[in-house]
Amino acid sequence: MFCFYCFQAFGCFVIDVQNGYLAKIFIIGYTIVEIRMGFSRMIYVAVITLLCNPLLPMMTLKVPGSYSDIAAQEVDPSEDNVLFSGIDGYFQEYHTYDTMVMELNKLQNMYPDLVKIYDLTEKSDLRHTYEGRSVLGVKVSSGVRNEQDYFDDPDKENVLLFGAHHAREWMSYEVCIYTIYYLAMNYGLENMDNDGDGLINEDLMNGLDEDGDGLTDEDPSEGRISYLLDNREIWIIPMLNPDGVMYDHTISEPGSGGGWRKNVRDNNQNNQFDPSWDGVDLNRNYPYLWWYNRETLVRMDGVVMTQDSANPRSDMYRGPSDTHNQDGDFGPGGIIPRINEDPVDSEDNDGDGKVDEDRDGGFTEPETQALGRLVKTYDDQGDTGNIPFAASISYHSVASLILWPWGWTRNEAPHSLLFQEVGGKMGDIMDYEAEQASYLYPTSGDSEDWLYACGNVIAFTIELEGQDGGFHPATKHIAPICKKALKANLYLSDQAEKIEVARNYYQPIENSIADINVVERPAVIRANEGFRITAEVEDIEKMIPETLTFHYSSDGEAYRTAPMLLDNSSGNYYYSIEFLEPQTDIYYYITAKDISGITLSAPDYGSYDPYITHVSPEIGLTSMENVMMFIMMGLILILVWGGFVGLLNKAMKAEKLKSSSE
Amino acid sequence: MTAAKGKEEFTSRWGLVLAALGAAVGTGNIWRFPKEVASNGGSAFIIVYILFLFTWSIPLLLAEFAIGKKTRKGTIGAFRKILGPKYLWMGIWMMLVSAAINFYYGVVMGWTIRYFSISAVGGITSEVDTFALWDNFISTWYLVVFFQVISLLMGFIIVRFGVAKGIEKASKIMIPTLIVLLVGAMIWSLTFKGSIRGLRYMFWADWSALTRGETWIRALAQSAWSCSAGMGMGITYAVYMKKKEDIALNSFLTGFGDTSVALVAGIAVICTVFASAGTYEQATQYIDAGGTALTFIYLTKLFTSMPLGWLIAPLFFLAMSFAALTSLISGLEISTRNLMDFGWSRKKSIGVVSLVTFILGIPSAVIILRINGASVTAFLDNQDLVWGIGLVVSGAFVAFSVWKYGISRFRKDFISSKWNDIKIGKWWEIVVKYVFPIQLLSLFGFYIYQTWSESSHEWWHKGSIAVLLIILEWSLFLIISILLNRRLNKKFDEMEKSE
Repeated sequence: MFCFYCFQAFGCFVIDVQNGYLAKIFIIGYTIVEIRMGFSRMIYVAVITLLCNPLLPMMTLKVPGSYSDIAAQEVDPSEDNVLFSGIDGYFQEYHTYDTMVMELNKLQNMYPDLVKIYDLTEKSDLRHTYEGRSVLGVKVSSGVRNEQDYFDDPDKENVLLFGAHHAREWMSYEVCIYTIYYLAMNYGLENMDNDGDGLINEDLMNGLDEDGDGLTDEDPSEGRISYLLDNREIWIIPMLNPDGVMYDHTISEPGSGGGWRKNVRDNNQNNQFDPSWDGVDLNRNYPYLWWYNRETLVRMDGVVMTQDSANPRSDMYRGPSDTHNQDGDFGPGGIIPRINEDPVDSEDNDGDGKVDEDRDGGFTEPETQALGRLVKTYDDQGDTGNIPFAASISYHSVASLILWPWGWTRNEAPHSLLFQEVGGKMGDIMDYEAEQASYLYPTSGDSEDWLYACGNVIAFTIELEGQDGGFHPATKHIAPICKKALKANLYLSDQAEKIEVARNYYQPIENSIADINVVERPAVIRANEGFRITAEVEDIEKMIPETLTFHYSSDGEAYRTAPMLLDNSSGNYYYSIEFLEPQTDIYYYITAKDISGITLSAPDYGSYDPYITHVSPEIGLTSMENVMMFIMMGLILILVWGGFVGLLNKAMKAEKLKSSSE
Repeated sequence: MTAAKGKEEFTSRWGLVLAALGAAVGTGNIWRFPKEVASNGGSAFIIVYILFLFTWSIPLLLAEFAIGKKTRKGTIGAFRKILGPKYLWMGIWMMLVSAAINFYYGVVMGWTIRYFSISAVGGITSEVDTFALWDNFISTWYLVVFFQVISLLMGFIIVRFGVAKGIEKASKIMIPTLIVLLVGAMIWSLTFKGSIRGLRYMFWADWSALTRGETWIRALAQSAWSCSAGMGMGITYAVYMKKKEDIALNSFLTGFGDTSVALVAGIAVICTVFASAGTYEQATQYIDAGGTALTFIYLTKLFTSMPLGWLIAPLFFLAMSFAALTSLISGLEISTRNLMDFGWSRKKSIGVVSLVTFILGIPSAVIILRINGASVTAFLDNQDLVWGIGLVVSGAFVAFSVWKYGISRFRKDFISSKWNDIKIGKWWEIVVKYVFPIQLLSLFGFYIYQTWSESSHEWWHKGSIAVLLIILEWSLFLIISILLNRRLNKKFDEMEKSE
């Protein structure tokens, strides 16, 4: 067990605060770094993180008298029931539907301004799942407390993350819950030097060792999270298939494979759940090209499987055919309704001028309806509160892959270049292979193709890793896998704004949007030095150069702005700050408007995580340059002023001589 | 009307030196020197500048002093005496150029008095838009003329009192005061934290500047301009030297004194700008602007933002006014001396000179163009350019007279005397013989080239038109000079006969 801040062993207190709240806590001899309100294992606790003090092996916890009912216990790091500092503590066991609901509600209570829980099944035909549960959608964004239900802020790009289409893929909902925790708990924090190396935010949560110190992501950016929640609306549906998950929890153990895949639809209609008969593969239950790949697939390893089956007993049952007349039209006689005459394939199959208006299948389940309703009207009855998403990730297990459309064909999607770019980057972050979905095996009626084809969402599927036990990795793997996926989630959220632009161009982001690179950026400067920041702009034709603005602040004062200047010789833009106060920190960032209307920023999170340059107190004679300058100044002044005084002196003596001789 | 009052004379050596220093130290020391130093290599430029002090300004000043002291005549009479009647016109040219410079210099001095008076009554505060203040002022013709008149009146009164009671006394008061004020401003500016950046900006030696011809030529031009070498001042003031007066050491004193003041002013201005301008870019932009913009728009603004600025501003503009006035009176005296050589009284001469200077200065005061929303002193700028280069020709005439007379002979007859406190060695001959021609040609060529390639927004500075204007205006002066040559010779002959 290591200190969150200095990676040394430390003690951690967990205090049950069911019956009170923490106003003042003193821990003698220790400095409290932070107190995080949270809960673990159904106990509402405060996790107190302390600065290490090797001189004081024994800790005394002193709680003011009025809080004597607070129970405190010291956690022994050597014991198995270690509670980790921060979020990992909540991910030592798998959640169930019930614990998830409880924790999400508590999170919403603790962070009402950031976390808002929606019951998405309310919008389904059944208004709940078959077993009466709700598919919860959690909107994470700043200011959700006072907004109207399903409000969509036009200035915030939307990102959709969801898991547990398949009941046994437990990790797929854990990564979603973890991301909710991380976002909520890190919002509004000061940028900190998390690893105590004197640098702040030098190694982002992105799976890379940016500062080359052998550690990855050891000093993530707090400002990044505040930026994301202030500029994105992140919708997270952790558990799309709660009935199935709950059933799987009765038959599976951590560290085991196998398990239940589908939901619990009563296919044989005997009013009871029969594992051999019931359930729909939710990820075959989306209407786009529903039941398209219907043939049997023989895999390389000889396993025979249907990839999209009409057989209710199949693990990949695509759900019943559609029986509704979505467009309300009738046959030639005017009596018999025409149904399923225009399936969802982006074509006007019946030649009536309308496209995809009467589907032949898909969206028969409350779970898929919940997601469909949120993203786009899933039938023609019209709806409000549909959220246009920039990008999405559907979490699955266990192939360790990043996948993108199409799933139904090996033809490339129109946005193939963009998918390759963003998907490839997420593959780097998670250390997974990245490829088009159909190369794993062709599917049809899955969420990713439907989101992309019908919702214009840059939709990804991430197949998480199996570790020992396949679908249910041992519990020690939960937090590490969650952290991995978190990085992909953050990356995709980062890129959402640019993805929307690149989507319009059918190009990768790097070809769609100008890029500002700060080329000259000292970490420490001396107070008497000019501080010149030079930025190089890639694809400048995509940017409005006059909007290049330099923002800077001394020690957190209000930001001042100034237009950046063009250096004609290099084509770069620069700005110089002079007259710096020693012993201050200069915060600065650069913004510019892209021709597509978005605001570019370097560094990415602008004022939330600006560049910082420290102004050292060193001034004057210390630099060689100044020594040389003073030597030259001295020489010149002695020569000229000294010469003048010498000449005057000589003249005075001469005058004296003359007057005396006269 | 003869010089019945007897021979005028500087009462002491210090009177002469301070008057000469007053003539040399002008507004250019304050608003041009800092810019030239900063944009041409810092210390490297200053070293080249000092070099030219020895190879141009001091030797030339020395020659002027020598001519004046020996001939005891103003520029016209002096050239006639040294080179013979044929070359009298060179003296006329010299006088005309210095007079032409004074035409607009009276206007320039008016500006400094105006700013002194505004700042003295606390009229410059941080709320004042100094750009608008300047713009409104120079485009209000009657105000400009009013302050021009005041300047010329001051000059008139001082010169009218004669050399000892007027010029000498005024210089003895103003030049020490000016030095004290500028040193005060310098010390004040060095008390600010940003001043070290200013010092570094000014004294950081960019040795690569030495490889550029422009550095050398700019240093030469600044040196020539600053020390008033070639102006005729040396000849004129030397007329009033005592017989036992030194000319060698005094030339050095003038040259070094002028450079010392330039350095003081340079440090004061650059450090003030760096201490109070918002950014490095702004500071360098202000200094690069130089001239009136630097002084009347930027510095004026910056003073308001600095502690004690309310006090420094009027003192600074007072120093500028003194610098301008002591230069103005030397110019007035050059013409006055020449007129007196023809038997006019000082009273009449200075009256006529002042009146003419006022009338011919009016175009510089009132011809203002609006360009890009800013008022531009169009006529004045043209005059500054044309006669700035004309001064080089005057310097060439002085050099010519030395060459014609014979360089060694000139040194023996004119310079070497037992009254000199330092001996002028053979080096002077070498400088005049070999270095002067190179310097003259390059200086002249540079000025013309620079004018030709000038791409400033003022149309009259634009390449060929500007060069054409120079030729036109010079031709006019040359024609006047040559036409008057015979006539004035006759006049001299008559006067000599009558004596």
